[in-house]
Amino acid sequence: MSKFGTVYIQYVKNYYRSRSFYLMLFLISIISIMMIYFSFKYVNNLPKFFGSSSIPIQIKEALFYFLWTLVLLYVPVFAAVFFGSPAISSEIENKTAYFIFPLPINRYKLYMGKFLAACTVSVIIMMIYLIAEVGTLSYLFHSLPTIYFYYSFILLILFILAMTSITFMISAIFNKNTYAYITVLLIYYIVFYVGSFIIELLYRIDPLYILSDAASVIERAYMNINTENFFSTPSLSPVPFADIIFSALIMIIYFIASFAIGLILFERKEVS
Amino acid sequence: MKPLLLKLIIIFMAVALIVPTASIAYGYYQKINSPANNNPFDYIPGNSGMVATVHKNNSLFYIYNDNNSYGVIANISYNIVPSNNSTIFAPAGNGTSGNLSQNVTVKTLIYDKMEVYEVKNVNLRAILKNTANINLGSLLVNNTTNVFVYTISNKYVVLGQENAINESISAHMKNHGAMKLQAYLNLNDNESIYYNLTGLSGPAISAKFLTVNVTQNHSLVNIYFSRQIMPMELKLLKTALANANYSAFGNLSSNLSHPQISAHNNVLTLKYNITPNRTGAVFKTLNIKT
Repeated sequence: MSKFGTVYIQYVKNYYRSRSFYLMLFLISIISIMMIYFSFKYVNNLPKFFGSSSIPIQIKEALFYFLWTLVLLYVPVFAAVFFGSPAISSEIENKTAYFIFPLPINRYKLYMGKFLAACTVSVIIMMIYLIAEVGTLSYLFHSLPTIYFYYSFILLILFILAMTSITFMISAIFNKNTYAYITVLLIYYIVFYVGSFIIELLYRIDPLYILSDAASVIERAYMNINTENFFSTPSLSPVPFADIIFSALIMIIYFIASFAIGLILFERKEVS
Repeated sequence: MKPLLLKLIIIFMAVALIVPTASIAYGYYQKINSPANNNPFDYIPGNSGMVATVHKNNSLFYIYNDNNSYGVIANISYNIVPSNNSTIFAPAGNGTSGNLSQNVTVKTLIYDKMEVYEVKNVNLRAILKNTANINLGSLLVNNTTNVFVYTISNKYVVLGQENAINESISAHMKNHGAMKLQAYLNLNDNESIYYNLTGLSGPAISAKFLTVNVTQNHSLVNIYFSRQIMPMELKLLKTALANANYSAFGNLSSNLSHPQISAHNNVLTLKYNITPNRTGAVFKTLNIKT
């Protein structure tokens, strides 16, 4: 096996054995069970929310997929924080860098191996939720997921890549895990969310170029209701395809830019 | 590998990937925010027999006819989840709502990746009358019909008969909308109508299309011919119009018999001192049949 493959497998094992993985597994299991309960309990009652005793089955199905996907806007952020924030800084803080950095392996292979391992465990966590989602909703509505599920899934993978690469970049800056944790959460929930809100307030546009807004398309792939934008007009139709492509490209740009910066920072990292 | 070389390779690869991605993203961003993308004319079939714009209740309604199938584009909100006596369509302005007092059912369809709702047993005539005060009168044969609805970027609603909606989606997707017709319509007028004359049977006339613009004080009919109008032809036309039998037009006959006629190049202009306050009346005046 190549050095890169060895690094990747070892870090996947490391993540698998970590408390973070079991914490995320516990969280996603609890959320999945709650959503399954919610779906079975309210499958016939939810239409009353719209003031109607019956709504078309396709809209009802899309609505349930939309509600399930709401969770996927937040869980990848926490998964990235748990798996990505301490990725580099913990090597310095725990002094394991003294043993790892001198190993005869290129730094970029270490970085990429660890990054892919973090993304893999994040995807594993999300897959548990997605399997519960598809299983429950397919059983309730007697139909397989529509094309919008696959759009949403691809966007989710891109969001995980973008979010994890941002956390790796932040982690490469700091030598302490706590700083990395706090900075990632501050950037995502203060800078992105507040920035997006101010732009919406001033210009009345949906700033899809901000990562948190681009990620909202993961759920809007089913119904164009932006739960974070106060000024948009909700629609029960899926978001236009152009918005899906644009959001996907934005996430790819965030991923490449932060991955490259993180890699350069890691190359320059010294154990002091 | 030397650290500096590696750093340069990383930067080069990142830039090489980001620049084209950002360029494509910018193209999509422009497409999303482009006024053309939200221009109702882009959603009106370019080969429509009739296209009209009507100002009512502070809203602008776009009406089109494609192969005897009617569609309306308007900035009205709608509640597609109906119940008995629910309001399904409501104008975005300050107009009254289109109340439904009958059972309707909704079916979701996918046309060219667009989600379209088929609302069954809807009284389209009543909706248009209530929402826009548009009286299409006898143009719609049946009282109740199945209305097909879809939205344009959450800004406009397109509703109409099945063929009209199919053609509307196709016009947008295949880029053969009625953008070029926008130049012939005056969106500031109360009512502005484009009518295609090329498919008309009857006497051999070389007129391509006509437009009607209705303002507060007068109605202006412009007839576009495929060639320049000769002075002799204009004189003959004036005589023909003066001697024509207008008895079928009832109260409008006295006004219709005395238009101010002028010609410029290939455009013949007839100015009437009438202000039809209903789109249906304009259609009838022009003897446009569905």
